[in-house]
Amino acid sequence: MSLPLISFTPLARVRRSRLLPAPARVLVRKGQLIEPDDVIAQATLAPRHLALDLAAGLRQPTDEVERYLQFGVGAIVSQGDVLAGPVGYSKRVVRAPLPGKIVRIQQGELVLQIAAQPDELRAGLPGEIFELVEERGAVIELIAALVQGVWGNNRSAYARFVLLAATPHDQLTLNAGDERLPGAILVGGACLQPEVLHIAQTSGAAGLLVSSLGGDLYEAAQAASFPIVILEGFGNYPIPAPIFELLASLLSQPEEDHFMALNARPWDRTKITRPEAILPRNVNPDSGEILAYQPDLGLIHPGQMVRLLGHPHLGRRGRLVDLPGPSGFASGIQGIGATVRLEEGTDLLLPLTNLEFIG
Amino acid sequence: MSDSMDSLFLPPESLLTLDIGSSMTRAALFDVVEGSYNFLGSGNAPSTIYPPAGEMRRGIRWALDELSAALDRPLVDSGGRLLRPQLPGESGASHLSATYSIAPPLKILAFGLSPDYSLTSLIRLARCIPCQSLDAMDMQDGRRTDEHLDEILRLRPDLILVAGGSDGGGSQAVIELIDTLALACSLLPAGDSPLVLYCGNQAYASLADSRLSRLAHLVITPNLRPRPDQENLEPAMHKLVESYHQLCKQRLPWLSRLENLVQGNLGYSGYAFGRLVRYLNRLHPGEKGVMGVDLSASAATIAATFSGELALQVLPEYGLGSGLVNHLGSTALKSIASWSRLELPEAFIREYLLNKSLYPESLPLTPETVELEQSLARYLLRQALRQARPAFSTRAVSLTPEGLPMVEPVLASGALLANAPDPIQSLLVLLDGLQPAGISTLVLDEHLVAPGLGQALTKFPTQVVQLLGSNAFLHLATVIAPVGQARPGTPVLRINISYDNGDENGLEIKQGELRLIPISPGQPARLQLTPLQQFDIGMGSPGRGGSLRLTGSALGVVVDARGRPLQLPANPAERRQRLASWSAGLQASN
Repeated sequence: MSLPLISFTPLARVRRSRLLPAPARVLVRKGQLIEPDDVIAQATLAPRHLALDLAAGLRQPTDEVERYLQFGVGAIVSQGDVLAGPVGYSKRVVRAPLPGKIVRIQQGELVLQIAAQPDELRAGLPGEIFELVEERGAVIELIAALVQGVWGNNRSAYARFVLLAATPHDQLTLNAGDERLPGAILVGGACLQPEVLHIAQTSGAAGLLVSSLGGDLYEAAQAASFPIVILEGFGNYPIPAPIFELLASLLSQPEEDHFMALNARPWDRTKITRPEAILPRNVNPDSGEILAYQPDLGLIHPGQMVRLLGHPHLGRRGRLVDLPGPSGFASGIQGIGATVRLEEGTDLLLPLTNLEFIG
Repeated sequence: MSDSMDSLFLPPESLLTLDIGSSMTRAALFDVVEGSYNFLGSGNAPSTIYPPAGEMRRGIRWALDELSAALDRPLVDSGGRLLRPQLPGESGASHLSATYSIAPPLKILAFGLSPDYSLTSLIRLARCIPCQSLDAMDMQDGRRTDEHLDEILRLRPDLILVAGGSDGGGSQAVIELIDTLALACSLLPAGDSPLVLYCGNQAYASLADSRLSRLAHLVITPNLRPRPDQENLEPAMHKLVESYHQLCKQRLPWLSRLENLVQGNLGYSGYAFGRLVRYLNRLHPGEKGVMGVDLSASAATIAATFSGELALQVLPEYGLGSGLVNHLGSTALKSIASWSRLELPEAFIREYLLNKSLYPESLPLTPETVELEQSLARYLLRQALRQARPAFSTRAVSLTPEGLPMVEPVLASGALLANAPDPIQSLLVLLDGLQPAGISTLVLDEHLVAPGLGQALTKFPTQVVQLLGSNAFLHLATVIAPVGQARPGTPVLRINISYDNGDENGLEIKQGELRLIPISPGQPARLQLTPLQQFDIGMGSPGRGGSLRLTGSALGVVVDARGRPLQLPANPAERRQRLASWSAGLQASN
């Protein structure tokens, strides 16, 4: 059987695709070393158009417009070019208000696709181009720690991070004058106060990675201009101990290990994408410590580490010890059972669907 | 299991249905027992279609293994191939059908001529299939051609539904609509060609074909508004579902393998559910319609058929999964809390909904969360019904202006209802959520086989007809809900019950009362119903009664005289006490 997978790995080769959703010009080459701000690919994602009423501009009947056209469909025009005319004694003309390409002329109306600067896709991560994806972008590889979460507000940032918790259970609080905040990704425990989001915003923080978020802050977090990733869920839950220990230990390393790519993309179950933090590690690539990151296929077998879901166990962790099959639970609900040995050593019978793997 | 499991259509009559859901894969087996078709058992396993497993076969295999273990009947051989019986009663399964409710995230654009006619119908049509987003625009919305164009290019819809004009009429606007769409399609990047369903004025179908067929995957359907005052969604719905199935197969390659496995007998579960509801209406023709409700993680599905006309509305925003984030406002939270017997703080409900939206398959483990989920189900059913109601046939007859039309039966599906700790809880959720009026029967799809049987109807109708009256479904209760105006405590209905053994029993039902009359499953009874105070029980007119013959069911007969619409006390403590007393009253009578 298979369950959702949430990844946590302190050191691995991580590969991430950076792709545009439309045919794009790819600007990098395989093997190239890149920085987060480097542009990977360019494309005009949503071109804008302008409809010009030639018949009205020329003061001519619709079916007369065609004889005054200066360009046909497909022509590239500059700002000020005469598109149609001159007509009559006063030599009336219709000029292109902007540079662009004519895409339709019909019923006395001309549709101009406005020339625009292409949209740029930046790497968002430091690393090496592992693979090019034709007309879309590239795959970046780096050696990093990977910490996945459960919810994100669909923004991203790359910046140094600061850990604002002395213990995993500390709730996140911020002081407006704290000089560590500007430009940093703030990492903390449960974010339960609206002021935290407000101060993070006004102080110019680059992002927020929190163990949990108060349910009443959902809309504000959704609308925040910086990325927010939640590790555990909504409510008051501590930072998982292994994640806290990893982040604290990285901060005791040289400064190169103090950066984080925070990608708050929403969890998409049809792919293997979840909101996540990738922390580049300054480790010798030939070091034997580095794992080729290959998540478990999600097949259930005793011994696996699992995270517990749903009230009242959300966020607890344990190891799967048995699969007793169809079972009844204290609430009277029936389901497929799983016995989990919690970190403190007690066994708990839970529905299998209330678990996810930690891989 | 291997893909070589094919050619399974052999003389013995066992039927295996598979349902691949976003969280669970279910297998159910039906076979002949003592001369008639029966449900034998089901097996469930978490679906394995999403990463990290990323394919369907493991989930199916485990569901089959569970089913096999429960029945002590081998279904697959040691090589993973499905066993094919040669004689009745042998191992394996001879017929297969499969449904899927997992849907690729689809962006749909409804593009109509006018907001009140074509666009309204297009939006109803779009609701027949699940979608990630549904945008709408029309030629009268005040936007210029270039603004329509930019909007289409920005949205990049996977599917565009387009309609306008009634048949026989001529309209320059329809030509402009087609031309704008053709221009937009020509400007979309190669490889992003959308699927376009043209369901408008048939006089322009050939124009649509000539302008659009090279730029998009075009499907032309009959006009969904052949006349301005007539809406006919069914032909377009059928084409839409067919096209949706093709689109799903492109996005989810494992679906084609599953289709081969079941020899083409594969369909989208929402439509299969609707098909079963329509078939039930054929079996129960008359003034009343048939209603189906399926409350699942991906959507609330409402299927209602009146005089053979199916209205199918798949509403992801009222599902128990990601749609829950649409119900975080204070009004919605208060409304959910108002159905609970326990005091549930709004903040608790809000956080629960948010976490449930992330992990919809997780089960409630405490009395508070069971209560919360059942309160949520009542709220979602009411909201979904309100949303779907305008799509019902104009032939639907209601005893109250906004209420549920008269239906017989109501088929209720979904894990939350099927897995309730006891049937009385399912009954109360349905009574409060749907608030049926008049006389109806509540049928629970306790094994979640309704979509599978709806799909099986296409090839195995005889078997399915037998199963409809079998143990495949749980006949929860016959509901009698008198409608009228009276003070609480006023007698509104007199019931005389006669049993076949000669026993008789007389009851008087008072306004505000909820009463259970247990009649054992299979026990015949005759009810003489006499409405008082000009109350209406749907027997022709207010105050008119009559005789009702029925056979007992899991819970018997429930008389719901609490009023329509059901008004709960405004005071929270009094309201919780009232809800608790209704529940306790039913439990005590059972």
